[in-house]
Order: sequence, then structure tokens, then C-alpha cells
Amino acid sequence: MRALVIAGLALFWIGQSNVAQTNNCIVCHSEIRVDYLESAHAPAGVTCVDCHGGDPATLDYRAAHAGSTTPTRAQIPQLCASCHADPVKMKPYGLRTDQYAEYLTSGHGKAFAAGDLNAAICTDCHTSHRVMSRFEPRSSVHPQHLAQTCARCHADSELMKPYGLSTDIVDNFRQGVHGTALQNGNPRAPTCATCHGLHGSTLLQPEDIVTVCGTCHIAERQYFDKSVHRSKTNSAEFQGCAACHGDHRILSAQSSLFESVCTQCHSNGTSAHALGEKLKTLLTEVQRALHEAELVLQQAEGMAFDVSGYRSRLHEAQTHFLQARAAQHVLDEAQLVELTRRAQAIANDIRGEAHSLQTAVQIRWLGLTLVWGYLVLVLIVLSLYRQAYRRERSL
Amino acid sequence: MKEHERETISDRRGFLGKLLGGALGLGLLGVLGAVVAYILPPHRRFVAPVRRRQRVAHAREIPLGKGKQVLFGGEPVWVLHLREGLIALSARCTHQGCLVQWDEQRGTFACPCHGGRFDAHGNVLAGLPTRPLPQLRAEMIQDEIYLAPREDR
Amino acid sequence: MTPLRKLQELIQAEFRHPVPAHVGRWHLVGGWLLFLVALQILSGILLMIYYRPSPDEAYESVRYVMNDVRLGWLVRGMHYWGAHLLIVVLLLHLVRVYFFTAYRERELNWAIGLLLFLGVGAFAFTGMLLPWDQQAYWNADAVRNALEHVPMVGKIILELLWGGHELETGALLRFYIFHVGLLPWLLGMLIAAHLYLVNRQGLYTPSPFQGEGQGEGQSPASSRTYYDMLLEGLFLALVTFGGLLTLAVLFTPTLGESIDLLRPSPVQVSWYFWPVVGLFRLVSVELGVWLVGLGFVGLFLVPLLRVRWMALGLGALAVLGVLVLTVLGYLTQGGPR
Repeated sequence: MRALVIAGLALFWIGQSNVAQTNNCIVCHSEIRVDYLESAHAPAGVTCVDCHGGDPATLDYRAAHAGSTTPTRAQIPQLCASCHADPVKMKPYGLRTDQYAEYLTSGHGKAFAAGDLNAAICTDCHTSHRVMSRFEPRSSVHPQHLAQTCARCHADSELMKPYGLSTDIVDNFRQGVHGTALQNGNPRAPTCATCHGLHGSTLLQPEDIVTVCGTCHIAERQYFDKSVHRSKTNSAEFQGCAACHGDHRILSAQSSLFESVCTQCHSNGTSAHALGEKLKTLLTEVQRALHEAELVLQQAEGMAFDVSGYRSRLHEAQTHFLQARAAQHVLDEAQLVELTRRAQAIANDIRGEAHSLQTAVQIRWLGLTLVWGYLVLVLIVLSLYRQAYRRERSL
Repeated sequence: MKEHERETISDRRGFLGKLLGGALGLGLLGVLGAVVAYILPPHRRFVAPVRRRQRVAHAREIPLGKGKQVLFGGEPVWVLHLREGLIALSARCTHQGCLVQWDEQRGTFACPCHGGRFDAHGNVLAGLPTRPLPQLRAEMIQDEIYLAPREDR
Repeated sequence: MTPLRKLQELIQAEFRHPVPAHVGRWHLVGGWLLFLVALQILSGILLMIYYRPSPDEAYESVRYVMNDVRLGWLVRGMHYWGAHLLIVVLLLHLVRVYFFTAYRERELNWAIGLLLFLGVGAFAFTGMLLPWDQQAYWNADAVRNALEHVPMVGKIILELLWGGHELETGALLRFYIFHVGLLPWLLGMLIAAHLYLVNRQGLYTPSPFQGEGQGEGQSPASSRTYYDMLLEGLFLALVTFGGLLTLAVLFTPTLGESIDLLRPSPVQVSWYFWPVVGLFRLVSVELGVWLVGLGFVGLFLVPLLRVRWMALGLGALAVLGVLVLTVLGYLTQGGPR
């Protein structure tokens, strides 16, 4: 009776979805039913037998399982690729077909090709039955969950030991600005795959780091490419952006980097050290100037003066300052002097307004003093008049 | 004697009274002046934020394909004159608020700070910004370009 | 004789009567109030020129007054500080009349005075809302919530004053119309009645002087005349004007943040409402509302207090209680409602 109900439900479900042929497998394999029906494969008409074989039309145990298998780890990449690398099959779905080719270039794929069955295969990231588009919020490869999915292996010290890979990278990533941005729902925040590649994920080569970071940090990359550091990045001892900003646990850049990082290579007394000092001074000074300008504006607003004109000037100064912060990667003192000078000039203008503000306040004070002077005189006359009035009456 | 004293006092009071009246009159005049200064409408006319409309440029200032950065209610705004019409976008990058620049050749906005790029409709093309540039309404009325806030945003 | 002199003589003739001996400087407080009311009316009318009572424009228009209008900051500052001073002086007047037991046989005028007190409170409340900034909005919101606790009449008051439950649907316009349209007339008429009754019933004579004069309500004449009082009042008025000017220059009232409907701002209650807040904290809001109502009704019954020392003792107790509640209200006003 119960089997009939389930079968009825299953038939109803199948009738609802676009599955043309009868799929009786999930009648008995009910533990897989939900996963499968939620997957991207179900509505596309890919059924159990497409991977496992057997006869989906019967409910007879023997007949159903005739010729069925469970694909082994060694078979899975090929099996998935039999559809997903076929441009003709994928065309109606608008899906790419280069995943398998990319996979073979990846660290995972190379190890797999070398016969390492511990190497990650398709199902390790996409799951076996609950294969979802990465745009589905519940998908294991959705940007919000990807780090967790990678961590299933990359945080496992047993698994990573043979490869000599550290297991704290996912935790580190989460603590950095990228992980935080991701957690805050920034749709463009990078995940593991953004830098390491999706299916072709691999360790980044030192010479690629600047290019990879530069896909988002466009201005910084352009400036960096003009610097003397650029020519050093092909060697292992200077790993481009990561040399100063670190890799997975990338923190928001502070001026303290000048002391903590630059000095690791450039000892005190060298010209490079002096340049670093100079750049730092330029940037921190203009930052302070902008902060003070902001305070002046706030103070003026507090005293009911209109400062909206200066607000847009401050945006301009802020633009120059942020541009200078990116431009410091060129390590060109003259350029930084010019940019910070522009920001500083505007900040000085605004701070100069503090003087005219004081003038306006002084005018108010002067007016008040004059009024009081007048009032005191009138009060004196009033008192004298009253005195006279009283004396006149008393006489 | 008493009569004499009374007269002196009376004179004194009369004088002080005039002085007092005059001074008070002067003060009233001052207050009146201040009130008139207050009542005379100031240079910047009041415009309600919702019904704000502002003339920002003459049509010939922005030829086809060009853009001009203007101030709308104190906020920097780009006004573009494209084939499809006038487009007005906030000039402040949605990443960290830098002023973006219109790149005529490429037909994109570029942010000088971190290299973010937007298309002519404000959509993000590249870089760190996540949100598009907010749009404003721009209309040409008798060869004058007017801006107004967008109601639907 | 110059016309000015003529006017002086006229005034002097009108005011030449000597004042009773017991009338001292304290009796100037009423006149002081009158001057402050006049000042509020003048500065209020000036503010009306630029103010726009719609939720979309109110805030910007006040900003406009503060930043663009010549001396706008000064006019608003005078109105702002004038309101505070008016309440201080009003309390002073109330306390003065009470402790002089000057309400005796003037039950009607005492009641009118209390109504005036209520009216000034309404003025202060509606006026505080008009800039329609964060503070104003969330204060209006808090009072709305408190009103819902008021038994029976709360909902009706809400409909009448707020125009319903929603703050966005014309509540501000109502506050404005109450502030500049209804309340001034109401208060004007009450003030006229108050003054008429003072004039008709004469100044109250405290018991030590009773019987010494020529009749009821008369105490021996002092050497001062009403003209003296007028001059003293003028002195006080000028000093008050200068003081308000000084406050407006040194402590120009600023405008709060513009309204953010999704970010409730902690309610900051003006100092004159602290005792009420203190009471709400001490008991519950429901009971507090009852107590405030009862206390106010009690004030109307004050003229029934015949025994002088009892009146003074009760008054001292009440003042002490209000002070304690004020401190309590001040200390707890930032906390949860």
C-alpha cells in the first residue's frame, strides 16, 4: 500500500517535471529522490540510468538492476565529460563545454591523470546527485558556499599531507577582506575560484599573481606594472602583490605596511627605504589634511553655515587622495607629490574656510557686542529716568 | 527752593525721557531693519527636494558624444549627450566615492582611483564597484538642459 | 509739548496710581511672560515666511532658513531660546502665584492660568516637531505610542491630533496648523481673559496686609506707582531681549539629521518633559498617564486649600517631587521606553 502511494507520488512528480521517460529508480532509492529532483539534471531530463544504467521502466528488482553500475572515481570525470564536453549536447542549455579540458590542466586533473584517486573529481565539488547551478543559493558551488566546499579537502590535514599543502588557507581567506566582503553579500567579492580558476584550479605562479589580482584591482596593477618591482616578480622571492599584502588572509592596506613589510627587503639607510618613508609621509599627511577639512565642514554645519559647495570639492580631494594611494605602487615620488599636492590644495582651501568661518563668527560676536553696548546705554538712561521720576514724585 | 529743585528735576526727567524715547525708537528701527533684511528673499531660492529641477547647461555646451560634469544640488553629476538622448548619472563611483571620468573614445566611465569602469548607462563593466551609478532625469527644454531626481529610485 | 512727551504724560497719567505695598519685583513675572509671548509671536510669524509644512519640504526649508536667509539663524535662535525661557518664566509665575497663595478667591483665573500652562506645553511639543528631523519624527512616534496607552481618550486624541495612526499622512501639517493656527487664537483669548480678570479682581493681597488698607484687597499704598513697574518691566524686557540674542549667537540651535524611517533615533525629551518621563519610568506608562492627569486636575482644585501652611507644605512637597522626577527623567531618558 505504502509503496503504491509513493509510486503514485513519484509518478505525479514525474508528470509535473519534464521527464519524458518513466523513472522508477527513485521509487525505491527514495534517499536520493529529493537530491535528484532538486538537481539541475532532473528538469533537463537526465535520469539515473544515464549514469548508472539499468531499466527505469520496471519495478522488478532484478530487471531494474540488470547492467547497472556505480561509476568509480576513476570513471566519473570521463562520464560527466561524455555530455558536458559535447558542444552539440550542451548547446540548448547554453552551457560551456570546456570544463573537462580545463580540468585536465588543473592541479586536480593532473594528479588524477597521474592515477591519484584522491585528487578531486567533478562530484567532490558538485556532489553526486544534488548537482545544482552555481547561481542556486543552495548549491555547493555557489560563491557563498564555495570556500566551504574547497575546505572539505583543503582543511583536511590527512588528505593534504602527501601534497604538502597548508590546511589553514580557507580560514585565512575568511578573515581577509575578500572573505569578509563575500560574507557581507558583495556580489563581486572573489571566492577561491576567482583567483585559482574554476575547473582549471591550480596554484598561482608568481608571475601570474599580479595579473590575477589586477583583473579587479585594475588601477593598482597598471601602476605596479610601471614600477621597478614588476621586473622582480618572475622570481620566487618576490611574489608580486602577495609579497606585501599576503595571500589568503589579505587585510585592508594600512600605512603600517611601510614599516612591517618594506623593511624586510629594504634596510634602513638605503635609497629605497628613504623613498618608502617619503611616500608614507606624503600619504599620511594628506589623509590628515582631509580629515581636518572634514572636521571643519562639520563644525561649520554645526554653526548653521552652508558648506554644500565645499562638500563637492572634498569629493574631488578624496578622489586625488585615493588615486594617490593606488599610484604609490609605481614608486614614483614625483607623481605622488603631484597627486597629493592636488588633494592637499583643496584640503587647505577648505581649512582656509575655517578662517572665513571665524570671520563670520566674529561678525556675529561684533554684532552682539554692539547690541549689548546699545542695551547698556539704554538701560543706564532708563535707570536715570526712573530715578528722576521717583525724585520728582517724592518732592 | 523746592520749586526750583522740582523744576530742575522735571527738566532733567524731560531730557532723559526724550533720550530714552529716541534710543528706544532707534532700537526699534534697528529691529525693523533686521526684519526687513530677513524678509527680503535670499539669493538662493528655496527648492523642494522632491520637486527640485535645475538648469545645468545649455545644449551647445554638450555636443553629441560629449559629456559635462555639473553640480546638482551640490552633488557632482555627469550629463551625457548620446545618440539615444541625454543621460544623467551621479559622478561618484559606487566603490569609494571617487569622481569618475567620461572616456569619449571608449564610451565608458573610468574611475581614476581603482580603475573601475561603467558603461554610459551606469552599469558596472569592470573593477571593484558592485552597484551601478545612480541615474537622474535629464531633459532638454528649449535648448536648456535640466536635471531632476528620478522618482523610481 | 512734543507728541512724544504727550504720550509719556498720557502713559504716566494712566499709570500714576500707587501700587499696593506688598507688590514687589515678583509681580513683574506676569508682564515678563507677556513680553516673551509677544516676542514668540513676532519671531514665529517671521519663521512662517520660509517654513513649509510638508514632510518632503519641512526639513529643507528649516535648513534654508538657517543657511540662506539673512539672519535666519538668529530669528530661529530667538524663537528657540524664547520658547525655553517662556517655559522657565511660566513655571516661575506658577510657583510665584502658588506660594503667594495669590489664587485665593481667583479660582477662575487660576483655572485659566492652568489652561494657559497646558497650551504652552502644546506649543512646545508641536513646535519641537516642526523641523521634522530624526529627533522630531521619533519623538512624535514615541508620543504616539504613549498616547495609545491613554485609556479611552487616547485613540480619539490620536485621530484628532495625529490624523490617524500613520505619521506620514498629514501629521506634520496638523502639528503646524495647531502651532500657528489654533493654539495662538486659543491662547490669545485665554490671555485676554486672564488679564481682564487680573484687572477686574485686582491684585491679591496677602493676609498680613488684609484689613490694614481701606477695604478688601487693598493694602497700604507704597511709594511705587504702576509707572515704576512699567519702567522696571521695560528694563527686564530689554535685558531679556539681549539675553535671548546672546543665547542665539552663542548656542545657535542646529538642525538634527534628516529623517531615516528605518533607523529609530533614541528619543531625546526636552527638559520640561523630564518629570513626566521620570514618572513613566517610576511607575508604568499607563499609570503615569493617569497620575499626570490626576495631578493636573488636582492643580485646578488648589483654590479649595484654605489653610495657608497646608498649601505651602503641599506646594513644597510637589516642587520637591517634580524636581526628583526631573532628575530621574534626565537620568533615564536614553533608556528603553
